[in-house]
Amino acid sequence: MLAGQSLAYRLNILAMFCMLGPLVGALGVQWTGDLPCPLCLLERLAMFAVIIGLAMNLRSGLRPLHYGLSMAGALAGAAIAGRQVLLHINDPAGGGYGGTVLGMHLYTWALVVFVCFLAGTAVLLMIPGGLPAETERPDPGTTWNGNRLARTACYLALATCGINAVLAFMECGLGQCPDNPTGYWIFGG
Amino acid sequence: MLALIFAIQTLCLVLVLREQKTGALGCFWLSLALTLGWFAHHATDSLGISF
Repeated sequence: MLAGQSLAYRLNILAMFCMLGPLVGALGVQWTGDLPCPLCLLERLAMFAVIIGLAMNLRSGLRPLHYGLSMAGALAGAAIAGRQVLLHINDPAGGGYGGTVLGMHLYTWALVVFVCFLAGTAVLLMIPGGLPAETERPDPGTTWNGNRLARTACYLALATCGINAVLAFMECGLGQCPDNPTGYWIFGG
Repeated sequence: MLALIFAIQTLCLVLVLREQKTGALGCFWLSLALTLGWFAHHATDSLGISF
């Protein structure tokens, strides 16, 4: 059932860009001087865990294992973002951490993204013929070499992850990040 | 620590793109375990509520 596979492959690309959107946006927010807190960085790590599963789907073909990896990442991310949201609900001072986008803090958006991803994956796994049999020949549009958008998404994810590694080192070094970062560790902040 | 986990994930993505699945899976589970371990550390340490 090639139509199901093709649809599932395209939805994987869409999910990849939906995950990359907040990550690239968060880099933009960081560029303006709003440094990420330790839990915010952990949420980014969980987003990359989701992306790794999606990248495996795009690179090596659609497999239940790859969906499972992404869902494990999304569950971890929802737990981290959920804790941060609850911390700030319970905060007597109120206000939350950092700025807001469309009225919600970035960690609240992270929770929304993780829950939406889990719901979307549930739907994705229900697509008839969405998972090819081991012996089935894949549709050319659902292979790594046949889809430029899939390659673009994966290389963008790789670049974003590398940039985050460098920025996290600049902000925290190899130790623990400050709970309220005001400057980059590497610049003595 | 967080920079190290990001670096492991970057390596993982490189291995995924090279189709070295065993190494990629190892890096994935290592990074996820470290992420959850560091999350547990932040959930139990004495840091303020503001993060």
